[in-house]
Amino acid sequence: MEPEDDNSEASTTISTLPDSILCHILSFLPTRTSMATSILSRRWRHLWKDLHVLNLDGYSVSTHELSRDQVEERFVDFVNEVLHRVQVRRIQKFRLDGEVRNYSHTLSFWIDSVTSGPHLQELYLSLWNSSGSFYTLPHSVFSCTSLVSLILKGDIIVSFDNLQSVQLPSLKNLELEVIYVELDKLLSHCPALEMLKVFIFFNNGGMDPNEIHLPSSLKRLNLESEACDSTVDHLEIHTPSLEYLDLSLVACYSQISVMTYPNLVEACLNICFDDMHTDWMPKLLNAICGAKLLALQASTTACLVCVPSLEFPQFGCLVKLQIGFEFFNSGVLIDLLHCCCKLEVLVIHACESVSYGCLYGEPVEPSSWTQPGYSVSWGSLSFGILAMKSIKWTEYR
Amino acid sequence: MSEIDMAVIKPEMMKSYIWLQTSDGSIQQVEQEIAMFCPLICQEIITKGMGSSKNSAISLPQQVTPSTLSLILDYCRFHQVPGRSNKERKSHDEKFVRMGTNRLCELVSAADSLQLRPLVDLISRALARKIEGRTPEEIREIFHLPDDLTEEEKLEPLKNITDDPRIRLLNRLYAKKRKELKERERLKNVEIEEERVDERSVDDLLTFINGNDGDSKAVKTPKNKKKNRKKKDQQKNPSLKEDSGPEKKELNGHDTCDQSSDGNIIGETSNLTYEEDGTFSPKIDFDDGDMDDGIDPAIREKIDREVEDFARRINSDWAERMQDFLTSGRERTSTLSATNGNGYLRRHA
Repeated sequence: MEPEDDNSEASTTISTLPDSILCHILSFLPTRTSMATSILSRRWRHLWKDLHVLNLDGYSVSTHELSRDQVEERFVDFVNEVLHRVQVRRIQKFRLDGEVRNYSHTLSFWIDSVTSGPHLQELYLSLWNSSGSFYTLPHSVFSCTSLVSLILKGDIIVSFDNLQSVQLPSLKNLELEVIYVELDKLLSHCPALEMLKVFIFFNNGGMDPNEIHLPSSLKRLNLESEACDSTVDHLEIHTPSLEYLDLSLVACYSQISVMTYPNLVEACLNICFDDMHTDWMPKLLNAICGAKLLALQASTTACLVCVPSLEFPQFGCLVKLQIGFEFFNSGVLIDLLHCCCKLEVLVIHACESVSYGCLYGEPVEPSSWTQPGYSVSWGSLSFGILAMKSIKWTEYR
Repeated sequence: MSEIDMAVIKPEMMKSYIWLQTSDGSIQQVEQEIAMFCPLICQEIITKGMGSSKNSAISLPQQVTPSTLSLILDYCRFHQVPGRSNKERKSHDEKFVRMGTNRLCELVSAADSLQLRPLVDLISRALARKIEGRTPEEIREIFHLPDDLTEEEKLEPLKNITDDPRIRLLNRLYAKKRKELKERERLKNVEIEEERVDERSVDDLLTFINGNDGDSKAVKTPKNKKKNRKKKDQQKNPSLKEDSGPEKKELNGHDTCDQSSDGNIIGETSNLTYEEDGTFSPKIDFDDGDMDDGIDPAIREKIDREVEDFARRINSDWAERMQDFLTSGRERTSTLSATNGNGYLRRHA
């Protein structure tokens, strides 16, 4: 326990704090715990009911002797009780983690109630159902005009019957890691979106053509897709305010539209090899040439190697470069370094097999890469091949 | 006078000092750019032009004692420097909150009065950590809380009325459902096989009448049987009412207290059970009153439909379900072509 100070000033205890601060403290606790504080003392009896923040954890009600269905029932009881006692229309943040299979209509009921309140700012739903059943998100979420942050994870389906009523004018943060989402349709109704993090498991809403257009207000983009068999026809990143870009593209993207990003600070690229990708790789590199930090994963480097007549743009602001190799290719590295006049930190990673496509360059046995990476202080501009070689040898050791 | 003050401040923005008066009356000088980190001080300087001299010292709210002020200023001094990384800030914050509970309370009160939100959040989190995972006795000790609830009050279920009529209805519906489930359990123990056979055929009839797909009744797990029986009961009174309306009866806690004590799944004998990991959990009772049929059957239907859905899903392959969903989705959209499914289907080929 942390040292308790001498209680000479008995007046400054938690009991002297106003209700608003006590409630604020409770808002950082799981709701089950907050609810339980009602037996602490008379003062705390009704305090938790003024909570504007709910953290409902379905996993905390489980014990090893209960079956999954029983756990779910217990959780549903609990949430009903909570919603029965708080001011549902005043809820500002609603978070639910759990497994809901038999009671999805009830869950929709809860969500409808919470989203109908004019104060709801953050909604977080994480539903990982072991049985493989999935939950269709109620439409009320998409007409919640006060919503600022929406985070959905798990076996949730996000689809739209009626696009007209979708309004998310205040939405700034969107995070999706769900089994199915009609992404483009959703994004087209988020005009103020600043942060987007998406993990696409699957093909993008089955639309034809399969496209993703990002809202122009975007500042941070984290796009990860693992839809091995599907193709995205067009990814458009026309986002002049972009500051942070993280692309992890395992699926095939036929075409990418980019622009120069004047505010870009950091870019991470993990782009798997594909014939189509080599077409637009140079464009993408040009677009991110203003970055201060750049990280290229091994798959990206492998892809770069296969680009015919690759010419790197000048990375005039680049301060830190992280580059991964499966097979070390000094040609690519040297070419790249020639374009980085302000580089201060260089980190080179060796990777486990990243197998695809044609890779040429001196293959290095994995055993020689004993360290995951190292940093060097890079002096200034022109360096001779000699300096490079010495660095190379150090790595081998 | 204030205009002159403002003119004096502007050219020396970076190095100027501000005069602050704390709760005990003492006045001190503080670097302006650090003090400005607190919204309240910032406001006082800009809108009222205070603080430029000893005479016009900004008098801080009474929660700000000299010692808390110096801590707050330390915090501001660290964070107002722009170049720090997130890691650095986090590490500083972790060390910063290592102090006794009373000091933390004092500090959060002061930070709140100065409207310094990030510090309020930081300290609140720290105080929340002191509550989490502890028994009630431990918490009372840490925070010096009087144990002033009677035993009776502790056991009494929590009562309050929510502002959402839908939630109220839902709650009553679930209470009723659970009650009926309990009755079924009892009946099940008395009569066995014959009843089930009867029910099944009645169920079939009913589902046919309701125009559902026949497949959902093909296979039933024992659990679904229980719920289907209940469904049959309720569908004997089919009627569609509107899905709204205030509560018809007052909530009456007393008689259902005992009744639903066996329906009390989370807690046990006391209001808060002491669980193995040292935490305590709330007792949940249903203090809803009479379970009359005023409960909206439309909602009941909806919720019972879940059971059918669930049964159906159990029996079909995940892939099939996705295909179902995707095809029905595409029927809604304008473009339609058999090849659209390829992207997805290939995955499962």
